[in-house]
Amino acid sequence: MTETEHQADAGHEAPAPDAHGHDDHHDHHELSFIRKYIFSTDHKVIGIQFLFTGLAMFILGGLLAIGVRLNLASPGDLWFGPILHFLGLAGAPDAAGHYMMGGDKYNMLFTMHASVMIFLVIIPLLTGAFGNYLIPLQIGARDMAFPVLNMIAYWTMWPGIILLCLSFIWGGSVSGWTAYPPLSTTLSGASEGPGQTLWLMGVFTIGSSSIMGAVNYLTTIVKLRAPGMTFFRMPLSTWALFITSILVLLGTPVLASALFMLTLDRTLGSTFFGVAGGGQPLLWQHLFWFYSHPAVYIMILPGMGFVSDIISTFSRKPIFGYKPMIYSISGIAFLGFVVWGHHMFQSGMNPALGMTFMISTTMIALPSAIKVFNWLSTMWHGNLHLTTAMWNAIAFVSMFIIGGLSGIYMASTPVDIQIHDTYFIVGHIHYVLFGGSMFALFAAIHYWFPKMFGKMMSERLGKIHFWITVVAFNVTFFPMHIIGMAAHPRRIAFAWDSVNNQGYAFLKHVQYLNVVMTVGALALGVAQLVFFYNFFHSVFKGEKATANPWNAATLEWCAAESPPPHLNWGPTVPVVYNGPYEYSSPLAGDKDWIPQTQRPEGA
Amino acid sequence: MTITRRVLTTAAVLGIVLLSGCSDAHLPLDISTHGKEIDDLFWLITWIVGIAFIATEAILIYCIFKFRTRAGAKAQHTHGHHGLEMTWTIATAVILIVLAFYQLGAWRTAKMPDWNKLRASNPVEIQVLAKQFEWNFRYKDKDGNFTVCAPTGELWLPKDRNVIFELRSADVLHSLFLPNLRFKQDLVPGTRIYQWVQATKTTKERRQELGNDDFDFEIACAELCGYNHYQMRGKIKIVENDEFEAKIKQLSEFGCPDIWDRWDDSRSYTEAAMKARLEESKHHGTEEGGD
Repeated sequence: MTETEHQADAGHEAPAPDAHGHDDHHDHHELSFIRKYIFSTDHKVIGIQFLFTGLAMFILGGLLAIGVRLNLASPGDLWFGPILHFLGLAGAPDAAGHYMMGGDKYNMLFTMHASVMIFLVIIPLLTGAFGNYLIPLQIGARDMAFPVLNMIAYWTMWPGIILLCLSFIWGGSVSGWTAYPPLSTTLSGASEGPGQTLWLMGVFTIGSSSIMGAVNYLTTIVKLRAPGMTFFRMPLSTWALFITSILVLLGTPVLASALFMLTLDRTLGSTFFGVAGGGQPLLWQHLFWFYSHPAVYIMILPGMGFVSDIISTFSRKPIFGYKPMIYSISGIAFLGFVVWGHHMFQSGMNPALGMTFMISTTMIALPSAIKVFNWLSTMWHGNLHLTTAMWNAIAFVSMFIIGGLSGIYMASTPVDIQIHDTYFIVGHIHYVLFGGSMFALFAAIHYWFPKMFGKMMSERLGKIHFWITVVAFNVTFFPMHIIGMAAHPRRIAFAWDSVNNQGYAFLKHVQYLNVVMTVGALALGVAQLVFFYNFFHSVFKGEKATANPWNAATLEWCAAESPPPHLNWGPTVPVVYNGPYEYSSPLAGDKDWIPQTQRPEGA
Repeated sequence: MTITRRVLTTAAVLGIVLLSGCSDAHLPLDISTHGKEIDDLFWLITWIVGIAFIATEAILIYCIFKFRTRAGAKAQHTHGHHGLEMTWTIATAVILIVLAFYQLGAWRTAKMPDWNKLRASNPVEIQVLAKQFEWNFRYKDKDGNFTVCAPTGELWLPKDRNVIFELRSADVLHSLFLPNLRFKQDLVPGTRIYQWVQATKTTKERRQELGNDDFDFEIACAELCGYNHYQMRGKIKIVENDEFEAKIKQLSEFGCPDIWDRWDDSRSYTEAAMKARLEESKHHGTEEGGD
């Protein structure tokens, strides 16, 4: 089970004879529970492992965000004060019985919220869970090119998670997920301690897991496509994951180097970033953002791919502009490497760079806009089946429009003078990361759940979750643009504390929005309980799923059971004759779709 | 619930929320000479993205209503339209390129001014030393030496006169953010950065406009600098030029705090600062309920 058999390369139209030596070995020994479900090399099991781990981390990241929002809404007398005190986040109540949080705890909360969400949730769910689950199935492979490496990639997450969680014991990291030195090379947590160093080591470890995954995905897609599965017959989910893997491969090592240098500065007295030894704080920013800007595209491109598949399926219509969609993904990826300086417009780098990065950053709006136009055009004159997956995909498009458009302000270097490091940025971030990536993930989970678990999720609960989430999401994050315009800085523990009459007087008039947003955030958190209940209840008690409940044309649906067996395809690998989105084709006869594996008439 | 009711209810809830906040959706009062260009750009972008937003969201909502499945419904089978693709690509690209180049001027004014001209305009030069967690400002005395210190956190500015800041940090990254002056600049240890600004209104004038004698223009730190980052606030006192000169003369009678010893020491002070911070952090932990 550790090797995949040889498959025909790209371009072969005629089906190659299928070597299935494996299955002969396979009958002779049954795997132990541990080899089947814990230390498995099956991409489907690994994908599901990433899924469960990512969802668990989502809960942690969400709770950290609630901690952040509670202080912003009620700094002088914390809501849920006793609970926060019990968790060590708030001090003992003062003479008036008020609970308050210190600046260090606040800084830890938003630092760890972002770190967990980025490194332990979004990237692992999009690339680890769905990259693993979908790629071999969508291209007709039996497994990844390097199944053992794949298993190692998953298990490498755990030392990373443990290191990050260990850092909590020493007050976590408090320098932002961006870890700018000299702050990140001097203090750590509420007292001296290894919190920051553990964070650095944890992120480094998780980065190495990402790189392993990227190597696997690229090799698998290039080498293991089934007969007839040319590059331009791959679904956009696979294309997006392919290009995302290039970003991971090229960008993550730069982050790793930067993390390593920062760790050396903290532990061995080097001064890469320390002025005293001739180092340069801005060097960190360049290195960090050289990765972290492509990282944000790593966090959105797979979602764009999934949403394309889902919208096409539920519009019963081919994706409008399949090749332009691929070129746009490539354009975003390429341009993504030359815009990192827009995070540093006010950093003290040469202002001339503000001009060059402004041009490149403004241009990156173009491929994203093209994608939005193509999604809308796919739905236009479609036959829309508004399933939970489709609603979440529609919300992705809708929220991404807002997130993307707000980016135009940030691309403008002079406007950025005013909005940099304010909540305008935080609003943008959350519209693209939650409004974009999370809704794409909800859509993808609802869509591929039947394939993964052989059961259907509840559409009723799915829609309840969706509608509460989309409303609560906007209540939580839209006002950030408003307070950002009012110059509300980010990463401040509070704007105005009306109990103790302290804070920024110029923000008093928008403090009520901090309260509104926290209420929204609490509602958003509670709404996710509906999702988790739906998910876990359906795993065990969901209605049994057919092989293709959505009548979808791509290989994972039209050629595999739900769930697919080990090695995916049974005795013969599928042969591909058609593109991935042949819906409502006049050639389909009575059906409104043509599977990728259907031989054309007379062929 | 039917789709119509769901979408309309959502739109209503969102509408109420967004509209209630919208009355506060404005930029702070701009009292700078270069800020109008920035604000005009902000609103120009708002028009452009606003139109794009309304158009795309309207099409999305229209599609949901008009094309949802019904008995006998059939989708149009098309893979795309080359002409349409080219049109919207080129149109969007043109708008973006024109916008990008149009914005360059405002950036140059703010961050790449003609320094010769600025220095020849009888500017006030102010040294700004940021340290955890306070802003320190130093002015020139009558002999042209920087010996006059304002009280910590108080930035005294003359109205209608150019101000040149020399920005340094004593320890970690900070960022001087003056919202009403459309000013933001990170302060990087080991570097000195020059920036400029000019105020067009005095504090007194604004107090009269607001009918609030307690009003002050404020300073914020806009780069995370540690546990008291949110406390690193300040006030800007803008006065007429003659009042400004008088204030500097009055302040010159007092000394400057020791922190200014770090001003010249742009390399080793950071190491000393690091050691001092580590010492200080051993005593920290009794702050406002933190531990």
